[in-house]
Amino acid sequence: MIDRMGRLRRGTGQGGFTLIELLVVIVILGILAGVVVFSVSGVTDKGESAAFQTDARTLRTAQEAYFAKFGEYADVQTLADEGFLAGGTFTGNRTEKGNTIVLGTGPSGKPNSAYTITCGENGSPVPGGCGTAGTVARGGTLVVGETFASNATTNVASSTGGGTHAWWETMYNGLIELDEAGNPSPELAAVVPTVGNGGITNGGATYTLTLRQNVEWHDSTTASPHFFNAEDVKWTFEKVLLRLHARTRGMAATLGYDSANCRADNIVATNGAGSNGGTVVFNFNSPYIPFLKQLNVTEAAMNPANSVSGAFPVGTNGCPSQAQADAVKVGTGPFKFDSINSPSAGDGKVVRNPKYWKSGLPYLDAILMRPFTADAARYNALVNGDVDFVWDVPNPNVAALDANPAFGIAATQSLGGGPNSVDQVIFNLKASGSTVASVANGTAPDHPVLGNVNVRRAIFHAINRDDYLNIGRNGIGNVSRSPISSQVFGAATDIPLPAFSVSTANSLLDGAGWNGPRVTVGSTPNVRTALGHPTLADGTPLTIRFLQGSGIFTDRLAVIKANLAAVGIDMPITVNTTNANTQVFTNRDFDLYIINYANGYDPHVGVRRQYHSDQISTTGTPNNAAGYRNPAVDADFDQAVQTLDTTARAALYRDFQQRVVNDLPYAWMIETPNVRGFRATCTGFRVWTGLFAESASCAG
Amino acid sequence: MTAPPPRRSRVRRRSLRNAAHYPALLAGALLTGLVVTVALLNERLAPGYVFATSAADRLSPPSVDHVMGTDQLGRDLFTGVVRGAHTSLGVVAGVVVIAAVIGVVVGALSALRGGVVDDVVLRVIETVQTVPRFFLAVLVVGWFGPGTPVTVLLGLTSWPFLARVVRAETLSLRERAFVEAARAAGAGDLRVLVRHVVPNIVPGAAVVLALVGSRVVLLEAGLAFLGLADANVASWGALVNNAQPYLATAWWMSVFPGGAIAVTVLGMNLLSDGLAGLADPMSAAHERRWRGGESSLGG
Amino acid sequence: MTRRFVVRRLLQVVPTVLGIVTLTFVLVHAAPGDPALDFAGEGADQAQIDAARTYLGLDRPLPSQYATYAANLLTGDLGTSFTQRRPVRTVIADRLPATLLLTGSALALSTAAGLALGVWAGRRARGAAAGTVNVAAVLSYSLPGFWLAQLAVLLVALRLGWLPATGLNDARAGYTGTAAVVDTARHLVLPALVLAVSEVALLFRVTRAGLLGERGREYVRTALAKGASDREVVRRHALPNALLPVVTVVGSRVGFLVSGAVLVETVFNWPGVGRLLVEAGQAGDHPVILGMVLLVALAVVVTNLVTDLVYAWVDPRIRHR
Repeated sequence: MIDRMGRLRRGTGQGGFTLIELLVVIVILGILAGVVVFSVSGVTDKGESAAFQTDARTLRTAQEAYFAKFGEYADVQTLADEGFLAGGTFTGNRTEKGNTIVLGTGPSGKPNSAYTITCGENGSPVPGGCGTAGTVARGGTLVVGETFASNATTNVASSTGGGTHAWWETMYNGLIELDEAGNPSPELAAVVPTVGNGGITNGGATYTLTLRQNVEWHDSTTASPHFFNAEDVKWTFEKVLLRLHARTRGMAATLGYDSANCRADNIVATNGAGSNGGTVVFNFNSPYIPFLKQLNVTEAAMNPANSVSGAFPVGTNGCPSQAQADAVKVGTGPFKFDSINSPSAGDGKVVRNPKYWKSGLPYLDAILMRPFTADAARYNALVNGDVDFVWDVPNPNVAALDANPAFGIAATQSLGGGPNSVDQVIFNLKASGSTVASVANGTAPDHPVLGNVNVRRAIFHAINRDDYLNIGRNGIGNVSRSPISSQVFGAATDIPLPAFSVSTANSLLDGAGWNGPRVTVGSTPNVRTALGHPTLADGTPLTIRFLQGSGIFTDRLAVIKANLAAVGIDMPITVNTTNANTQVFTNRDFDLYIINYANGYDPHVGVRRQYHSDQISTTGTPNNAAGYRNPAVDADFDQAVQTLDTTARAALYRDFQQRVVNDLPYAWMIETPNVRGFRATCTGFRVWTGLFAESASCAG
Repeated sequence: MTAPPPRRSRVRRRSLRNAAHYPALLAGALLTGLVVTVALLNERLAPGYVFATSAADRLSPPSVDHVMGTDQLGRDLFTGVVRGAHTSLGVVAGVVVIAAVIGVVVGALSALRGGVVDDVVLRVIETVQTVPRFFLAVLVVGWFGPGTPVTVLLGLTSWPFLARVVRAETLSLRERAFVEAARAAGAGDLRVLVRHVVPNIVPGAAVVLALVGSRVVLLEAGLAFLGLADANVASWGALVNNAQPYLATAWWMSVFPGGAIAVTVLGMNLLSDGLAGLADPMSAAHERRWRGGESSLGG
Repeated sequence: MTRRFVVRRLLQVVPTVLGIVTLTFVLVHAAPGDPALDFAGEGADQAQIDAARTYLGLDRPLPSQYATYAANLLTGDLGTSFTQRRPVRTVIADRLPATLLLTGSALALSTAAGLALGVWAGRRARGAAAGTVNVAAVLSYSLPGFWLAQLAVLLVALRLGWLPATGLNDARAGYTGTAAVVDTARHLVLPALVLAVSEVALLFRVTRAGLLGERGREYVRTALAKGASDREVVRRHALPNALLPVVTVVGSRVGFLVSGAVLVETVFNWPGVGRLLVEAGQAGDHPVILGMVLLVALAVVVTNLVTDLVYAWVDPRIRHR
């Protein structure tokens, strides 16, 4: 035996094994394998999950078709009566699980599989409503399984990070609430401004918001009351939102915002008596149509004026630094900040705001947020009762969870950080190593491989997006039919995107100078090489690097990798979770990237930032990651933001979509709803917003 | 006058005839040899594109078409396991080479030179040994990516124990006649190292290196389990990681790759044990006599 | 134990510590990217980035930075976390108790079990039972720990429902006092057992090997021939000598004690430094990771020192070297 000093100690052998002992090893290994197989093989959910997904898609399509025709959502019975649904049975056996009602069996014939309605705040589509009014259970702590660990950012106005919003959005309010379909209702603004009530004037260039009175900030006391007022609104926009929020700062230009000095003189705030409430007028330089879609708590959470702390680094010019803005913890929301690291390190806690301005709410006493670094651990925690609610049920487990009567699921088009998200593969249109400035002013050289639109088209044709959805995301979602998410105004779903066709992809690549002899690169056989390519030497293998910035895309990228290999493209994947967003984009050192872009409730909010040439950015979330510059597209967006007439506006966005389908700066993969999971005895979740637990309650 | 042959080779010849008394060595060599063969055969054993997905075949249990079943993307698990052997043993080979070169050279030279050099080397060994390498591996992957940087890191942190062993053995060899004779004849340290020290420390080094190999396989699988593996080559740890949401429905996704890890690590551990037993036949003899009964005492 | 020996051993610690500090300093500066940018955050402008650079001391020459780094370490300042914007030592201190609890329990369990099994096997070294234990030992440290953890959660927590599946305590109930202790104990059982399984084998083999080795010795045979009973010989002679390498082994596992069990903590979502490593890795927060590297390395150095001194105190052959 060798001791720590490295001396071989004589006379102390390790002891040998006899043959019998080794045979026993093999037998035990075999028994272990058998025990494992026996114990872990449960019901094969494969058949059930496929049925669930088919039924869910059928129902969703029918609901959308009805909505498109009649402008509202209908219940299952109505859909069937009106001919939007075929198959299945409606036995009228209603069972309520959480806030969903199950109405029978779907066309697959499997019970409990998907003819469900989600009860929502804005009236349940099911006659008779959900549950019994007046018997809400009060109190208790809701334990939430989070997907991300918390960090120093507690302010949802200064960040669009999904983790930050999932943790802390319950502490804040916006000015105007939006339901899942994007319909507005008053929040901190007492009335939704319309042309009719004089709130919107000058053809959509001036908005007057009358604020709610007697709303107290969390730090308000009886001795020194602190009311929400107009000055708070102006301060939040000037110092935080228009500088630091990746989507809301899209309105900065039209508002005439001076970002160097963080001043927005076009916002006029008049406090009400006693610094309580008041009015705020937004004077845009030209009509700004999407304004009302950017005022909810996710896009414009309200902070108290002058509330930044001394966090380091300190701001300059009277403008708070990112760190200072991130550290704000005071809001007007249903819950207020309590503590972190209690009861376990890494946890976070918010407690009920007893002075919340929506009387009677919230029902819960507290929300305890617990992060999980592994999907499987989070799911196990839900199933085992360690947590009550998870933001994201891992895709493979959705069907099993739904089939379990002790749990409810709710799919929503929203991520924590923003709604109506689309997976988009990003083509780096400009050469690696180009500076941001040269890309912005158009002097940067084209990417040697991806600069050719036919190569981009070939890649799009090569990807089987049905597989991407079904294999890569377990069928949760739907294949994109347009550059703008189908859930958002202006989506032109009749412009055909490149269809899956290996032969078309191959012929496009052949014609683009990639028809040289095939080689093997790494694990990939049959890789194309250049032959007669305009810029690259003959024999260069067609290697296109894919930069993966987040672990959630792993399965989906595996599908793309296999699809591209089938047409002779080698696609090595590099994972860069640290600083992928900031530092990689300053020198454009990538070929392909993927981002789940939140489109928001209006194309101007979340779509413009991906295509407009003024968005080629140096810092923050990579807007216009492709480096795309098309003056006609810029003009479409610039015009559409001021166009009041809906038809004309839709036509402008249609023109934009036609152009980008021709130019292909991105490959739009799928629209990505997320599935929340929760124990069935909890109900009232508004799952499309971070303010999800405002009216939630848990029995038992 | 020829130097007497080193004691070790005489002992080895005698022991090998009684190989059956060393079942650990046999089993270890067999298992490790099996894995090495699979790794070397690689594409010949499992042809095709390892990452080929198939919607129709996803989550299929073991069958004639797919001997080990398929994963959630429809990729054949047998191909994944075979190619994973190639990947894992590639890492092991890289680490073993780096660790062996550094460990042997540093350990032997330190013992031969002695004095201040020896003290300094011992401190360096201790410094490198105290640093937690799994933590460093996480850091390295974040900075430089997975794959080769990790292999280099593991190699640079696996040599200290080997250096200690080599140093101890060299210290005992240093006093031997043939070494002194070589020295007297004017041989430099390097010559002594290569011609006399290295052949004699091979068995001891082999014990340590087999252990290093088994630790590396586990470390690499652990990193892959956390999602820090190279996505462009097959990896056992990544397969076990992928299997987590499917444990209840697709047991084969976890059992086969996990079993492959276990078999490889077991084989290397047994090999290490077996070689140690070989290097220390006196104790094995004691063992056998003791097992045979009390007759070793008094009659 | 002579004073000279102790002093010499203590002095040997100094260059090792210096080596560790230098190594981590090099790593801090080897990081690609710009730490000032990371620290200032996404929306920072140039002025703030420059301020961050000055604050972090990055605009000073390297030797000056090294001196500050070392001096800071003496006062326990390990830098500031990028993502949490709190001192690294606070971040680690939040998590360390949980890990110590977990790995400490696992070490205690495995040491006790390993010793007991090792003594038993060392005394009667044959038979099917001994063989099976032998075999199980080899198996247990060949199986990947994360695999075992997955299966344990699945079987014991989810299928059988005997124990919780994740976490250190019940988040909802807010237990205090004895109830809190019981709650933590319930959560501790499964992860500690899983960890202990991979540690038992080493102790068992070392104890058994040591005992077997001692039994072959002259003095043991003499004692037995003189009529002493087997158990008495083991207890009074063989065992104490055989325990020396055990001390070394336990000492060497202290590194494991502090560095935590990253994979087991991930599977069980245990809020310790292991999980912190994964979170910091995912967020790119390398000051935290390097702070942990430093702490673990220093803990190991101290432990080695202590075990060496203990070893020397027990084994007189060494201290007179």
